[in-house]
Amino acid sequence: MFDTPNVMRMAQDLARYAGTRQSVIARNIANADTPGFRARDLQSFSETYGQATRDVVLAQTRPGHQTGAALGPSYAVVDAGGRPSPNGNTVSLEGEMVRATRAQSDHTTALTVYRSSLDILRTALGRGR
Amino acid sequence: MDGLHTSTATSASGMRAQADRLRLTAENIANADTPGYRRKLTTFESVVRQGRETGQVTTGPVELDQRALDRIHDPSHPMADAQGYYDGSNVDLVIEIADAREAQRSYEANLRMFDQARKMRSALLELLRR
Repeated sequence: MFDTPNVMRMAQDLARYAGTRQSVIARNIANADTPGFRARDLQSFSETYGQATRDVVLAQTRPGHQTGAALGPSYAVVDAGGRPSPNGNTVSLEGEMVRATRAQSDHTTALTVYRSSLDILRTALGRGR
Repeated sequence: MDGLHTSTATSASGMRAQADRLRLTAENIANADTPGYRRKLTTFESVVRQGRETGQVTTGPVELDQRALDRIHDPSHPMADAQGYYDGSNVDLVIEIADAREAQRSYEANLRMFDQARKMRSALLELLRR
């Protein structure tokens, strides 16, 4: 009867993407001095959104088993590139800071869209803002 | 939510590792004039738990710099040999200061990530209000 509006599902996906990306960036920054560490990043959201992002499929040997749909989408982790320093590390703190800001603004955008959609739903229910 | 949770743990491990490095640097600087002192150094390693990379970082075992000790000429020094030389430390203050700066910079970057994850999570919880 009640379907989550598409825009809210998209906002939810974007928030999850931003959260995952933030953790990838935190990992890069924590490993900024680890020899041989290669910086990682996620595929851009526009590339991953809409495709069947569930590349991890859980095997079901009995009908009652989890399908993996509850895990939510998983995002492809790619090498972020960058010039390696003498110890083989490719993390650039400046680049990571830019990416982190980007992830945060994505997250804020998603939450704002989600909240205003909620407001619209509330208004439709006659509760007002 | 889960991503943000691992993110704070990762940043915390980064801060811990950088603080360890800064502590070794402080020890080196404090002992710059100790005769026979060898500079301590450590390397960073990824934490692997149950065969999987956790993304966290830790400092490896402390090693001693094997560079030759400085030979200092001071015949009045109690440890001086027949020629008037004694072994100083192999600490180079310039290197230590540069290392400390780098550790501080990395520490701040980790702290910023930690704070960002915290902000993102509290923004998420804000949605539940009202």
